[in-house]
Amino acid sequence: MLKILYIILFSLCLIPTAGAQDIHQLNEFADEQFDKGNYQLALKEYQRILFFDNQHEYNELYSKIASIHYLMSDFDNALKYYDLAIRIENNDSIKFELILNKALCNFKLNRYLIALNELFDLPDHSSEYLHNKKNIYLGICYFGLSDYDNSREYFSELLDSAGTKKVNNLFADFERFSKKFRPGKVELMSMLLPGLGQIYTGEIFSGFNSFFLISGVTVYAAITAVNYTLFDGLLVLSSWFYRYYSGGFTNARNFAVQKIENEKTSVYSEIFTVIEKYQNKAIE
Amino acid sequence: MILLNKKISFTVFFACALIFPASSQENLLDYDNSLKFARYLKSTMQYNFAMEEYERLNFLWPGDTTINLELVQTYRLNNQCNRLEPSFGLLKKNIFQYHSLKSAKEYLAFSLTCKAAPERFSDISSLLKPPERSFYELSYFWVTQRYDSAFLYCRENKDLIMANNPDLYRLTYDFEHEKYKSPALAVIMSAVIPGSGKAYSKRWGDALVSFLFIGTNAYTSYRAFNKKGIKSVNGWIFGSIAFSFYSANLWGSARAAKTYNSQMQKRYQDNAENIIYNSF
Repeated sequence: MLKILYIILFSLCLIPTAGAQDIHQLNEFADEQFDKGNYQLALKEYQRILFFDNQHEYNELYSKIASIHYLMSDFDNALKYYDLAIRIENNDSIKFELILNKALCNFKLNRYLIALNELFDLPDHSSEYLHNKKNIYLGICYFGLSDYDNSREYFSELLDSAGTKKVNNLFADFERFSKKFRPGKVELMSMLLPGLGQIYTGEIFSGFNSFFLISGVTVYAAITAVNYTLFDGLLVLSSWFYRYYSGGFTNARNFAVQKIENEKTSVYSEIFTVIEKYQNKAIE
Repeated sequence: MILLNKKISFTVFFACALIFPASSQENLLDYDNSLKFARYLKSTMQYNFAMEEYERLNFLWPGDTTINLELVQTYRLNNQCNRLEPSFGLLKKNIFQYHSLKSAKEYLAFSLTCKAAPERFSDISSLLKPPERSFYELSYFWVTQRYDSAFLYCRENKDLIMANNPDLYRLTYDFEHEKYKSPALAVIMSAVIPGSGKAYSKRWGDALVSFLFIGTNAYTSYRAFNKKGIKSVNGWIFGSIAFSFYSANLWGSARAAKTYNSQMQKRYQDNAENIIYNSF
């Protein structure tokens, strides 16, 4: 009889726990999924935890959810959750890092001005690591906004003299490059001599195509003007010349713009290579 | 005996000490909590997650009418049109046995979202009251682009639709009385005055460019032939250019009229779908 009672009572102990998942277990499960890279599943379970977290014991999950969105390239939602995490965070250093992460999201969305605004609101931090990280991000903002003087200033703060010299050279070379392929200048070249601007930017085929096409039309118009009248020559020219002429110098301008953008991307990665090599302050 | 009673008492006390704390831990995956969370996911438009949650609930509590209805609703919001047929299986009992109008309307809304024409659409819509039935039936003709049926239905049920769905009625009426552009007329106009067929289809920029291009080349050709007769090379060159652009312009004018008509139809279709889908 006692044996039967023991069995019944022991079973009663198990029933409430069988299949139940409380908030702590779910958190462990979600953490495990996050570590394994199952971000979708981790995201759903973190949201479940926050939904039922009436005691606000799991506020740190806002930043975890933001990281997941960032890793899944959903930068708008990442920003939303970083904002929530920042609002409830009391620790200044963690808050600082969260704001820097927000800036990173804004970089991905090419919102450099918004990122700059937020970085300016950050106070100076006693930690060298965070201070340097802020300077790097400020440098990136200015670079993204094409303000190369300010960008150079912030990058140089992180480097020793050799590194500063390298960065200065990079910026100087980029400035020369930008002047050499200034879009207005290239456009004018093609206006004066069709095809010249395209050839100057390295688009040889497009340049020669433009040159021969417009030359051909012009020569034929001239022959017509000689054999008939000037008015006839102008009529021949009118319908063809403007279309190919304006198309030519517009193309030349677009080639110049693209060339500068490509060079900008290349300079950007070279700057980071220099920073990694020559930094005189610890950046992890 | 006393010892036995003591043993039993101790055992019961020990068991209670274990049971009550264990049962007081909230199970976040039970019915109520899972449903609450599923509704939260749906309200925040995370439809994929909501679907997973509802499907889990449906698996654990099959036949639950609330879960079935909300699961089908999530399929609809997530545009899971491959689940239309299984959704009928989920809602069949709700609709025909429990006479749930909510379930009937949800299935109809799902069919309209998927632009599907299931045979049972009219069977289910007939269960609704006349004002609602007329809306769903007219919407059915719109989403399946059966415009003649839509016009006829609208005329036959004018009072009902005008009273209950004035926007959809007005749209259907306007579309029925909309004037189409005639491709044949556009070609004739461009044959007479190059570019005018495109202007008829409201392509003003194209019309002007066609007119100037054909005009200048034709005039150049005319002047050349005028001066040197049929031996003029310029005359033949620019005459050929003018003729080929003139022919292309005729074809372009017909195409412009057809494009105008299809864009106009698309505008009405988009407006109708906006009205229909915003009502769900």
